Amino acid sequence: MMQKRNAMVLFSISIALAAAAVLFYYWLAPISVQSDAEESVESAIPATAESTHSDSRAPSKFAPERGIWPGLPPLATTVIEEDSGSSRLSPDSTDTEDSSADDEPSTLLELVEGFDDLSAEQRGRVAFRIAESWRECSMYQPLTDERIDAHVERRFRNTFDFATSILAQEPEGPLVDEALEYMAGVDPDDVRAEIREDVLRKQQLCRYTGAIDVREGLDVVLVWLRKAARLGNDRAQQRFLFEVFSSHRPAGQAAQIAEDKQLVLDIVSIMLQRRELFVLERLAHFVGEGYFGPPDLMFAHAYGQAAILAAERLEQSPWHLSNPNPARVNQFMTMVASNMRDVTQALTASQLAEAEDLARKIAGLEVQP
Amino acid sequence: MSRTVMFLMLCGIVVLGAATAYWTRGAPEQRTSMTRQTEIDEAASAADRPETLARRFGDNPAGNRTSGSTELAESVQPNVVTYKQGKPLWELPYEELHKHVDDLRALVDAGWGRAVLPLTRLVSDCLTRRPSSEREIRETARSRRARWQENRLDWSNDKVQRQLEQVDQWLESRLQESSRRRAACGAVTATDEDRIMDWLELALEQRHPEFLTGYLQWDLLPDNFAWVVRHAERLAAFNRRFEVVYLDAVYAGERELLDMAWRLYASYKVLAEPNPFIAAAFDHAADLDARARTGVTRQYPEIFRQQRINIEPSMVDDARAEGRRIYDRCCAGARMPR
Repeated sequence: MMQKRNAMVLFSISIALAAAAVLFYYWLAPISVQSDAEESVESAIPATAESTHSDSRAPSKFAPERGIWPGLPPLATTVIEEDSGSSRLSPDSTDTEDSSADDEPSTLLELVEGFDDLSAEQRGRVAFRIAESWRECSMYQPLTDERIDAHVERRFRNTFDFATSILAQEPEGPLVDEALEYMAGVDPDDVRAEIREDVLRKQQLCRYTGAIDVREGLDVVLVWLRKAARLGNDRAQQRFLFEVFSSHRPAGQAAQIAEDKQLVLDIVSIMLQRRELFVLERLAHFVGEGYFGPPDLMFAHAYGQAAILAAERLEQSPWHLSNPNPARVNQFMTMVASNMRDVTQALTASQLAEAEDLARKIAGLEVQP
Repeated sequence: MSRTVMFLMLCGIVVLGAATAYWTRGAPEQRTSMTRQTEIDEAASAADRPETLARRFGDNPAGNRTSGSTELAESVQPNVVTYKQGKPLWELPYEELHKHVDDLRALVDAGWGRAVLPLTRLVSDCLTRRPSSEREIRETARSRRARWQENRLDWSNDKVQRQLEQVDQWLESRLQESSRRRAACGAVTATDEDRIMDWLELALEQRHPEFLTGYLQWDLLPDNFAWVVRHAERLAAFNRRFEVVYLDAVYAGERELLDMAWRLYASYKVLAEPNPFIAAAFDHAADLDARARTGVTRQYPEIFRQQRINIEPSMVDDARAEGRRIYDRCCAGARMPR
């Protein structure tokens, strides 16, 4: 009897095991296949900026549809961690103007010729200075000493005429009165002296370069700006983000444009980690124009609005602006608002609401009233 | 252990064995079907790639009417126009293609690279220039008429009448043109803009001479710098490949391509910087080829080419010597039957 019961138990266990095996296959196997599939789909979506750049058909690293720029840390984080400096784009340690700058050559030609002999620490700053000098010299017409006075007088007259014509277009009001009062208090000779000083400085800076074709000159500016940005110069990186796509370049230069896109992504990632406020304005521009994916006006508005919100409450916001004096903050907000005007008008009410909501999160102010 | 117990245990082992056998037999089948599905999916996605299409049509290029016409009709849905007036769609004059954007797109989707040139011309034109409405055109004509009728220059009546007739002719032709463009642009979809690169890559892989020369001759890319930036990686690869494919075709003796090769090196369309020396060399090679063949004229007049090549006078002789070498390599032997 006992043996029979044992046998029945063993039989039941065998049946149960068999059933379990069948069930295991039918229930669990599809789940594991499914999770494999999900995993492969997820792995196909680049999660970070580390995905391959060489594959030209790879999906863009930028995922505007997810509202995330690669490198953007969690939105609610308020602690800003400074860049460790490991990146090749890390801030140039000699970025700020230092005393050694006084010893540098004063002409563009000497700056360029001496560039290769500089130490690695100096190169970023000097490359940026060369870029800015090229910009000045590409708009400069060489002057003989005899013509300097006449040139100063012409520039003074142009400045005066320009100010007068602007004021003439404005309706009367306190701003115009204030401007007129200011102009009345300015000594013309002081203005002439300033212009003269500027002319002499340019004459010295652009000595030996001769006349530079403006278009060619601006191409060279971008070359040096790119170099300075790669060397980690903060100001060059900021300027690069503003200028890299500012003028039309032909399709034949696509290879260079592709490299520039990668550099932009690298700079943006680092600046986002450092919570540089101005980068939000750049993101609004990039997303609105569609440089990294199809244009997305909703996200463009979100980034732009986030920049304004963060600027309004810099104290509470995790974002920061260099030299945040009231005039600069105001100027920044005016610029962003002006750039966003068309974007905002193109949005529907629901898109606008969604964008505003996202903007508060990006600005790190979602808990604020 | 009794016989009954042994029997029951045996039954249990058999059932367990059967279940195991079912599992091990069923699982590979399932996995195989999964693998097959993956393969099918991969094949489907590979079919979208130009290389596959190039292979499909490589030996029998699309548009070969003697052997490809049946294939052309069979490769698309029955409602797609493939032939009109006895010609494949892409051989129709550009002005007649405005009603066929959808048909051209269907042909390109089916892998017919020769349809890419007219399709991208139509699409990029629509993306670059919005077609004027009839009202806008009539309004412009009205204001022009009013200006002439004012006759501020105090012209004679006859002269003013002639100008007014010209305005009417202008109105007529603009209305027709804008009507055609509106028909074409109405069929351009939001996704077309980002499919242009797919189309260009397809046509390049199929190496149709008409496409290669047409790419240099017409603006096939949208006049939108953001588009260029967005597609910069693919465009860079396309440019590199374009130069290789183009030169291969030139040295294989494609005369039309030799005629236009100077444009490849005289503009920023494919290369980062123009190369006036190479442009002048190819131009001279094409001149030599045109002279060697009776009744052949170059596509662009000499003055037009010289202005665009813009080579320094000191380099002209060397460029001509290089052009001679190019001609010897690509075309001199072609006068003999090959």
